[in-house]
Amino acid sequence: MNLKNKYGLMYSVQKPKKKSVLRWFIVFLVLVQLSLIWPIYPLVGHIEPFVLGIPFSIIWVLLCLLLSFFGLLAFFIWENQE
Amino acid sequence: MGESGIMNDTWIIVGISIGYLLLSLLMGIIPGLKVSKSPEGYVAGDRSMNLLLLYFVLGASIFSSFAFLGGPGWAYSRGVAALYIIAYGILGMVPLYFFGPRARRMGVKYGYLTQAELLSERYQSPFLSILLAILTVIVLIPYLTLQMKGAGLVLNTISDGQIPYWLGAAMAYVVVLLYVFFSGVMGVGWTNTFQGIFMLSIAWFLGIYLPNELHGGIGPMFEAIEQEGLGNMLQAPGLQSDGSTWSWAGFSSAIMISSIGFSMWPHFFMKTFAAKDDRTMKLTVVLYPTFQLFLLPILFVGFSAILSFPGIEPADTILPHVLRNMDLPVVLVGLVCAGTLAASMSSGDAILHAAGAVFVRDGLRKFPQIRKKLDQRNLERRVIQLSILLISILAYYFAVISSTDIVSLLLGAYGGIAQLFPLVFAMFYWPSATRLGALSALFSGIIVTLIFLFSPELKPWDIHEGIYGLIFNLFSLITVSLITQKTDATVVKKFTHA
Repeated sequence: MNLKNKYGLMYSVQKPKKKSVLRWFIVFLVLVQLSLIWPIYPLVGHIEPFVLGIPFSIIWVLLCLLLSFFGLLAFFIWENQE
Repeated sequence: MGESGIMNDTWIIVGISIGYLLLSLLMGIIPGLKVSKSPEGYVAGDRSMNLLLLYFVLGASIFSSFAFLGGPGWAYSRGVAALYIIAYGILGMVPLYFFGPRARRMGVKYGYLTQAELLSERYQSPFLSILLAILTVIVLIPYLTLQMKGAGLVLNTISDGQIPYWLGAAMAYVVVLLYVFFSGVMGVGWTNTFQGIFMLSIAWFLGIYLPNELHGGIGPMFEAIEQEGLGNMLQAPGLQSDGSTWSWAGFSSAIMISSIGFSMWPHFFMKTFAAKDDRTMKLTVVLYPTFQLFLLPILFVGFSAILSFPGIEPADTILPHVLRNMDLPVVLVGLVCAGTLAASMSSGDAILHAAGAVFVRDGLRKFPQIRKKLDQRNLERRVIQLSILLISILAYYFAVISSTDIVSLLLGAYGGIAQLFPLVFAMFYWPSATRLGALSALFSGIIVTLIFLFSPELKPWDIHEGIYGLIFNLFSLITVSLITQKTDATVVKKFTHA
């Protein structure tokens, strides 16, 4: 442990490239979370337009779910290749 | 159809449910024969769970009576506010992608089987472990009680009162007790896989069938709700239980606190120790949102009843109510009842198993004299089994005999369980966290959460009490850790380099 991060957080990965991908992945996760709550969800959580007969407020949550799933999957595959 | 015809129908439905219970029992007992008789076999299945088992254990545990009865109830009375149930699970499991493999590797290396064993080692505090054991049992018993109530209610309703409520709850939970008692976590794993597949099929069927029968399709159903002037139910974030519009602060903070608390539940976190390898653990987290997707149709059940069956109280009974009042094929009703039992049992078993294991591993074992006796005579597995028996009797007492208001206890649970998150995070990633920092964080977080839970009028803003707790929690963790003596570097390194 060097002095520089004595009081800071320890990264689980040390390689700079992996670190930066991890950072972007965390930003992605935070964005998905914010899409499900204030401030992003209020902008889009309306009834219109109906998609496949389902109100957009519901469709949006499903889109977030799929986005999160594919994001996780991509990260998992990337991590396995490294 | 005459009086005897109705009686016959009732018994067909009851018969299907009982047949289902017996099948679950069989599914639960057999796999337990294959693992070792050690505590490790009983609590973590010899650390051998594959992707299929782990996926269904974690998925079916959350798909509880609450989801099966409460989910439609929320959609019915509060509209899209019910999406809360889906939203918090989308990222709720993600922390285990990072914590899980580390916890698992440490489990293999040092023999850990529970979350509190990790925490008490990292923060060098047996007291923390005992405290967590007590809190876990206090929180899990009402959770289990609710599952029992769900099972009793279903069997009582479908048998038209022929099976009394106390007997219904007892029937389902004797089955659960038997397979958890004999098979431990492997019993939980295999029954949850079987029950999970079963109830998902039922959920999808109902979610498409009911809107079709009642409104001629899902699209026409939502259009009808809007045309009847109930558009505010479909506009995010939906309604509160009193029928007024839910505030964005309330909705957002409820989702936040549940996402944070989700992976901290002992009966979830502990399963990381059962995973076969890191890849299995990570892939389970990756696939987890697909399980959340299956919650959608169960919400459609509630939406379909808004116009067709108005004014049902309490809203949680909407699914049984719809089943009883529609002319559905009798075999179908029986299968749906079995599905509801599946939801209740597949959560109840994991909760019961975790409560027993945590009580012994994290509570009793931390007393040196007891630990010595347990190890000398190889009693640990037996004592866990005994605790499981006692805990189920206690939960049954609350479910049937006592009229204690357990729902309020459970409401506070998510706010409380989320207070573990900073401790678990710092355990792996923040070397400066200390014992006193952790203890003061936990205490201040829980106390603040409880104060605002019981006196909501004191809240400065309308956000979930657990968020206030977390603010105090983080503040104490950071400040106290920085001014108290550091934890031994070799101990910390075990965790940061796991």
